[in-house]
Amino acid sequence: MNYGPLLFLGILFTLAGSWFGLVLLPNQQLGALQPNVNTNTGAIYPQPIPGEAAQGREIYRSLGCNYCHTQQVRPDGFGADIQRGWGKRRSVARDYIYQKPVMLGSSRTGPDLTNIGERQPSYDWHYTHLYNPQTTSKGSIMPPHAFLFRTQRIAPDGPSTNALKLSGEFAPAPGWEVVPTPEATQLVEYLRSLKSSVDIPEAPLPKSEE
Amino acid sequence: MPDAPKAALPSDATLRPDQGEQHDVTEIHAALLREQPEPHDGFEPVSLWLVALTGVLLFWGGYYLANFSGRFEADEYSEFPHGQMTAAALPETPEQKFARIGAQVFNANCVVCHQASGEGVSGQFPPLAGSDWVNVDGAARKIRIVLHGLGGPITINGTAFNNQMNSFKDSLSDTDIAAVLTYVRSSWGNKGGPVSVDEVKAIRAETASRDAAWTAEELLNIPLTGGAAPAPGAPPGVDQLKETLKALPPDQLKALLDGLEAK
Amino acid sequence: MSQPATPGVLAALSPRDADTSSSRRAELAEIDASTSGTVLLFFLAGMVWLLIGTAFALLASYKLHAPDFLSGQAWLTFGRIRTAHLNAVIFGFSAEVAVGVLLWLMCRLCRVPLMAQSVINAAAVFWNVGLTVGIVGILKGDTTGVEYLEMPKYATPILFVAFALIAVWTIVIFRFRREQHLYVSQWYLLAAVLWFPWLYSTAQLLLVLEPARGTVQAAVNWWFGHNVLGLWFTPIGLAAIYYFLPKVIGRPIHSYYLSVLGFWTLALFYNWNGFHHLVGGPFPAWMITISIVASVMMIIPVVSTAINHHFTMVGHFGKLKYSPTLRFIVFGAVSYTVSSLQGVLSSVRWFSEVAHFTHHTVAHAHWGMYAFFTMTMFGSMYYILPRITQREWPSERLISIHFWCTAVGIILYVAPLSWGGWLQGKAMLDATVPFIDVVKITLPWLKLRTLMGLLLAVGHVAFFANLVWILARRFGPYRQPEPMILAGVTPAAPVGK
Repeated sequence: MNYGPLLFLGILFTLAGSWFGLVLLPNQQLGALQPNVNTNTGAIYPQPIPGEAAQGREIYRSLGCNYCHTQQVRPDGFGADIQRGWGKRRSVARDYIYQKPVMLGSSRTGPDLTNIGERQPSYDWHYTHLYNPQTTSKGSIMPPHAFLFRTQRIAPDGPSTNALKLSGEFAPAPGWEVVPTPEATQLVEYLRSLKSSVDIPEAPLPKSEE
Repeated sequence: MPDAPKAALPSDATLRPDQGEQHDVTEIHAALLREQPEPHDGFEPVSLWLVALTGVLLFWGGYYLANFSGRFEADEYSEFPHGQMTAAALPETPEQKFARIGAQVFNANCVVCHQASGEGVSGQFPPLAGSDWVNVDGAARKIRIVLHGLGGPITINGTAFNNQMNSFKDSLSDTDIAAVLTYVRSSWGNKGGPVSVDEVKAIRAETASRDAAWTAEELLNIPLTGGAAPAPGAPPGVDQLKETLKALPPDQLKALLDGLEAK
Repeated sequence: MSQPATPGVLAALSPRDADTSSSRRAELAEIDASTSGTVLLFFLAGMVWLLIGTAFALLASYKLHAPDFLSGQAWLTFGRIRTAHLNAVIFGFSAEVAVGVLLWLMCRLCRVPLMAQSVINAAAVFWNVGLTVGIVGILKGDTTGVEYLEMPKYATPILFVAFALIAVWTIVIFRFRREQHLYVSQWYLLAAVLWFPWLYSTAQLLLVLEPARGTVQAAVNWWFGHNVLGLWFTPIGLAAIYYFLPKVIGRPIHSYYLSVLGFWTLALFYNWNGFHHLVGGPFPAWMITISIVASVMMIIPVVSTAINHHFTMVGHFGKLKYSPTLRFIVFGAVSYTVSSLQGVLSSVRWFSEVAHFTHHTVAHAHWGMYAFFTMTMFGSMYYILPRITQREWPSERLISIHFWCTAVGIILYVAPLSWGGWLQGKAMLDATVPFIDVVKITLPWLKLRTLMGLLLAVGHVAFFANLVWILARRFGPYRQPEPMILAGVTPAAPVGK
């Protein structure tokens, strides 16, 4: 008997199963999610991130940051994400509706960044950390991103306002300063925009304190 | 290499071989000729153990799928049938819990600048280990620093720092702050007893209208021990006064004296 | 083998096989000759990409414990080098060698010479051009940011055309087969070429061209990513093992019924596994649960296949001494079982809670893609190349170096790193451990990985040297062939290598 056609049909039918169950169905359930409107405050969450932060997102993507940093908070009781201060609640599908691409990440060589904008809003900290992670986190294995900065002579009328505060072995030679390029600023704006501790119906913020 | 009785080599050893030319086809296709036949199937029956294993797995699969799928709803994120999963609580005394919270809050919020070793980063972030701002009796200044942040010049252990510390009044609860300060005071050889949640609560209420980060000068005005800062015009204690006066730069000292005189 | 081909060899073979007739051998010779140019092209290209991918791998691995190394330029940053490595070894080495093996096996098993060689050779050229453009694009920073699909939009259509041409012609070969009976390898090979274009086109459409909304992207991403491993590479690897294992030892596959069970349960369950990459992630519970169930069900095909392979080999493990093909194939087959069971374990929630996001996942990925798939492909190449070049392997020493360096290198990479990842995960679960300390725990395992990577690189260079040498023999002056049997032992019975 010629099993060829049977084989052919079986092969197509089996993949059709998961194409239906893991692609079509999720798209049907999650593909049209709208932002949540808070009935008390009227606040809309999430919102698309603005200009510079959106450009910063492209830089985050192009440098491959998502291969060491995740952007998903696991639920309380499953992993220690919330105890580590990575978020006040777990991440849900609605948090990502405006992201292209969604960079959930699959590896935590570095900490989760879902709410880094809440936890670390300081420009200075981010600039020095990006310039050379050893400045703020000794022993870190994150690569330095000095190529996002420019080392230039200090102008006669004084140092730039956004010059990095570097000291010791990381400081540039005397008379020189390190300033962020527009890319560095955009990237930091993106990181500062990462905030998701908002109450939404399918993932309310915990009410009680410990 | 096993020894092989060799067939006669062609006289012109540089001739490229090709099918149908001088060389023996069997030599060219030696690999092919020594091959075993093409693979084919045997027909041993499937072991009953495997059938049993399959049955067990199918049963487990069905059970798990039926009970841990949140009724296949789009907004049901917890796989547990009865609501959100909470941390399986390990047995802990209140002291252990307080200590754990302190360590966790420190790791989550403070390590980025003050480092896990409490040593800070020279020139940037002050140390907490052995710091003269930490190793004092009262917690009044420390609590304020954590609530509202600290900015501008400050001298710690004789070294000058000038940076900006974030405020944590919105992200940390009273318990969190009390626990983390207790942790700081009991780590890396630091001295000082626990910080109470009530004290944090009181100071938070008292400074409720404040938004701005503290400066070192403002903080030095605040008594180390006891609750509130002296009400404006109330006479400070002698030690308090001495300390405050010593820390002030001359023009501020003058302003303070003028202010006191005016009252 | 102590004599060159003589009637003695033919007589020693099982007399019941019509396969041993000279006409059958002439047919195989014709088929091998028809595939030789194309298969050689894919093998050579694949091996060049292996060397490039290995270089990227060593660089990436070293950077993880020496972050300042070569960090001055954006194109050399870890995030880009790691991605370049992944794409070079998956779409360069693994997939191209897979296609070479796929075409050779399909032609042999269907008993049809390869058709449209020029079209398929053109596809190979397209593929390599597209891949080069894609990897340069990644280094430039044009990555799509989608895991396993990072090559930019301007490169992937070129690749897709290549895939499509290969798929079409494989199906044509299958359609015009002369052999009525379908051997198990053919089922897997047909499945692979039907599944992969479907996966790739869906993923490109919903992730790169017209991205779906929010986490639906992640859903499609991991449906695609996992299925590249499970529905493209695994079937080709299994097809190779199912062919070479019985072929080299001259015994039948233990049980046709186990082959059937293994194939259909793989086809049914494997493709639902994707969301086990997202346990704890922002997805409704049912999606994660269904993938966990499917992952656990994979025990059935994995155990079936393992029993089938093992009982085919039983009594013939002695032949591992002589045959390089058999060594690599058996190594691959055992690794398939172990890495698959590791995968099943990893998808269960209580294990995932610890090991997710750690280096354990990286170790598991290499256990599957290298210890199983790559070693199986090496074994296949050791068998196929003498038949398509009509020469024998020149250097026994290089084969030994290749085998031992890769076998030791990969085992001492994946097993310790799996353990290191577990330790990392346990520390990450304890929020009183500062994150920097979690990182410090991983360092010794990462350094060991770099060291083992060097060993793997030595193995790859040894094989590449042998490959170039055998090709040189093909295009060089004719020489008396001496079959490459390792260990210099004359076996009692003839061994089909």
